[in-house]
Amino acid sequence: MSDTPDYDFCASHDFYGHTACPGCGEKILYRHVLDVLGPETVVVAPAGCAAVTDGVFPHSLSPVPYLHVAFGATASAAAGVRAGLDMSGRENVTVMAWAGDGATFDIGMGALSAIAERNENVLYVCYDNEAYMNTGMQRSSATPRGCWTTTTPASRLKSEPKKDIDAIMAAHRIPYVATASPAFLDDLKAKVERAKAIRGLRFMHLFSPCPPGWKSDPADSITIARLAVESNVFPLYEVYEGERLRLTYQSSSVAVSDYLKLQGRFKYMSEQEAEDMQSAVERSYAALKLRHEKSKVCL
Amino acid sequence: MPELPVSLARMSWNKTGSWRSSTPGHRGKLPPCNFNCPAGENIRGYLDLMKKDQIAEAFELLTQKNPLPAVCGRVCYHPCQTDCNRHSFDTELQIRAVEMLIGDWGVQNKLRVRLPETGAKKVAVIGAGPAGLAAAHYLRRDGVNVVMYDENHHPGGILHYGIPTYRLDKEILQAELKRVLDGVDFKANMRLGSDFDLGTLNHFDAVFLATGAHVSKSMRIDGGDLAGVESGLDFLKRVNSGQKVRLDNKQVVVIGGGNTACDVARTAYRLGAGVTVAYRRTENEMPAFAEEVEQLKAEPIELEFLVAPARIQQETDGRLKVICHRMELGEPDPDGRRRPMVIDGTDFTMTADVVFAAIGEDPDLDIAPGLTYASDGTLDLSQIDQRIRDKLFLGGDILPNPRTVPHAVASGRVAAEEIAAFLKGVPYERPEKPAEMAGPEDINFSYFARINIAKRAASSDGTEGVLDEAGAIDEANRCMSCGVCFECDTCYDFCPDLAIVRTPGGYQANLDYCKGCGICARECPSGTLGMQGGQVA
Ligand SMILES: Cc1cc2nc3c(=O)[nH]c(=O)nc-3n(C[C@H](O)[C@H](O)[C@H](O)COP(=O)(O)OP(=O)(O)OC[C@H]3O[C@@H](n4cnc5c(N)ncnc54)[C@H](O)[C@@H]3O)c2cc1C
Ligand SMILES: Cc1ncc(C[n+]2csc(CCOP(=O)(O)OP(=O)(O)O)c2C)c(N)n1
Ligand code: SF4
Ligand code: SF4
Ligand code: SF4
Ligand SMILES: [Mg+2]
Repeated sequence: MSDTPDYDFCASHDFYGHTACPGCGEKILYRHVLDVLGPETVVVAPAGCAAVTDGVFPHSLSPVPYLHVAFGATASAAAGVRAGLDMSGRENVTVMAWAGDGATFDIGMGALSAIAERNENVLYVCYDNEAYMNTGMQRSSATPRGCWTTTTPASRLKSEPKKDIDAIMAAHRIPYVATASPAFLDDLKAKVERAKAIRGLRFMHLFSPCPPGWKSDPADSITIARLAVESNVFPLYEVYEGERLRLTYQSSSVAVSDYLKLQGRFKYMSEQEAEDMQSAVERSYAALKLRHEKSKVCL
Repeated sequence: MPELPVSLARMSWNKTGSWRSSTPGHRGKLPPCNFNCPAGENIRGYLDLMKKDQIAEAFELLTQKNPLPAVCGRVCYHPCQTDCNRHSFDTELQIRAVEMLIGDWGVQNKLRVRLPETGAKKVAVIGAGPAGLAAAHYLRRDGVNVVMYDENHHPGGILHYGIPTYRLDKEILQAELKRVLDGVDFKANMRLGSDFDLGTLNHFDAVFLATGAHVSKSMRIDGGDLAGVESGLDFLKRVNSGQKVRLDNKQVVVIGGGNTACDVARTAYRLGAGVTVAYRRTENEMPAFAEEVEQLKAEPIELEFLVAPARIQQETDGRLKVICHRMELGEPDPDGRRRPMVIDGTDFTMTADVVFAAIGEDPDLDIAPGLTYASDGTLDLSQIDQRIRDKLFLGGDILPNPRTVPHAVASGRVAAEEIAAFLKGVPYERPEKPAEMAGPEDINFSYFARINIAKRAASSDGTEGVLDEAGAIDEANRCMSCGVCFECDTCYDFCPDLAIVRTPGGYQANLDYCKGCGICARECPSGTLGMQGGQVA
């Protein structure tokens, strides 16, 4: 079904045996992103599920160098690797930071803002599973309102809304910000292609289903990702230079509740909270749509 | 250990397949279209070829199971479309219209089947209806010498002499039959029982008897044998033989509710008659195909339901008085249809010039001495001369099969396979159907766009869908390949463990690494993949 070229970098490079849970969205995303980037890539990854499941020392799943760095230092370390590569004349190598939401929205935020402000030539990818999954599902600032985590139990569900990381990154006026989903692989790969071709800081925010953390059936990972897009909980778009916004998929009007009901982490939400979520989603999608239309005029 | 902690090797030593508690595999369910086609066509297969714009290959695949696509594309009652999964999404595929287009393409291009040289074996086929035609055709394709006998001048059986021209064009029919009979020695105007008998066929290695069911059931009422009370099927035969029959300004009453009754009524109407159809049960119980009933209702023909003739009288002016009872439905018969019961005191009279009886047909058993019915209604062959009996095969409407063209075709094709095995002296096993078809619950509709049926043009006489080649390709593109892998790569793309391998036999899980998450099966658009519980090593 894919109309993009037949990427087989991972398939032809022994990409087997990782230790992520059955149905983990992160490994689906990682494989397809690497397929587009190819061998001339260095991955910089902080602590988190991605890094831990990449392999057991001294083994690694990745067919490219994979640098493990301190939790809050992903962005700085990536900038450092970039500088080193540039100094040795290897400007063609892509430096990709591959970090979870905890590492991005929370602890790595300062460093990320810094490299964005300096427009470092780094592709920073956040795979967002909406909590600190590796340490036992603690809430992060990416966790949505009304969601269960081990630190926001049923008696005290998360009351704060999810941080709008994409708006924050776009506000840095970096050349490229994009959201993408494993359920829409053609869209994902096209965006990685575009990001790869751009110089400067590129930020990609990937929706990453996590069956144990989301209390969902591993088989449902892609279905959930699709419903997130179709219900506009996770719209697909890109922002150029912090200005021009383009929705890359015009979703149908699936109810947010259809998205929620496949996940045990939302089962404690009241009806009112679910309705509030529906209207919040509608408001933010309307705002995106407006910017999308305005951007068309600006072109 | 190096000074810097650097990974030295990859992870593929880690056989994560050991985590698995359920395993993806092919569900082996049939597409509903294939499952329901009485002729056994691989519909999904030829739709796929149509999608790829390979109509010649589509024709070849289709005619491996049914040599009469132009015919069936017109007169089959298309059960293939009933459970088409597209039905619960937008609208079912117009499969019959695609079949007709492919069939007509074969006719227009005067396609010929490449026939092998014949060997030493000789088979006689009696009856050139769809059953005999299919048997003769596939036997000839298998290199057998075939001599075909029919009492009529034209081959086709009911196709030629029963089904009216406005439903099945005679030129198309005979053009298609020309291809089907290629290489077959067709002997017209040879009636078994008068021009020859079974005993004279002893020099054949096998005999296939497919003489159909042509004897109209008698109404068994007073006046049922008056002049002007006729067999509906005989009337159709006369019209279809090209005899000039006129019914201008005549009043016609047709008794019955099956396909014959519908065709008789509509034919009489076309010949100028005012027509009333009287059926003793209601529309729901009519044995005619639903589509024929719809077409009947669309014409200015009167329908009298819950009416049965009691007796017929001739007036002095020669006209007929049909005295009828009104009926009501009682307890269900053994066949499940509710039994009609007379309501006393409701008799009324219809006046007619002609009454056509079309209440069913029986096979003619007088054609072969020894051919009788057993007490359970099946045919008893035990009285037939043993030298013939041992090599005698039967098919089509002479057997208690569902009486439809595709069933007759299938019975002829299966008989050809059986006879071929018999001639080679090897045992024949009927291929078993997988028990299940892929239902809407197996399909992942997220992968398909809603598109309603392609260009639809009603033909002059209300034949349902007629498509041109582009329309047929559009239609084929709507097919979701239910239960059959169409190499979309979805399972391959979504596997978090890269454990789906593309093999020539389909997509398989690499059990060394498959953790059994089930995403491939959940996402598979066509419902090909499913999860099986338990650890499979
Ligand atoms: C009026 C009518 C309309 C129908 N419409 C449809 C329809 O729209 N769709 C559908 O699917 N089905 C329809 N049917 C049913 C379908 O036509 C039959 O089920 C089918 O034709 C049976 O095929 P057959 O080969 O067994 O017999 P037939 O088609 O009846 O062919 C039997 C052949 O044997 C020949 N024959 C008979 N006796 C002798 C003999 N003694 N010696 C030599 N030859 C002999 C006959 O001439 C004939 O050619 C209809 C039936 C009728 C009667
Ligand atoms: C400085 C520091 N604090 C805490 C930790 C413990 N720790 C390891 S992984 C992790 C959670 C990471 O969450 P996230 O970035 O969302 O990635 P995920 O595991 O969800 O994929 C934490 C808190 C650490 N390794 N370093
Ligand atoms: S806990 Fe979640 S994110 Fe971590 S490996 Fe398992 S599925 Fe993936
Ligand atoms: S969608 Fe295609 S495969 Fe499925 S039932 Fe309809 S015609 Fe057959
Ligand atoms: S997902 Fe596609 S490729 Fe895989 S088995 Fe199903 S139809 Fe075939
Ligand atoms: Mg996380």
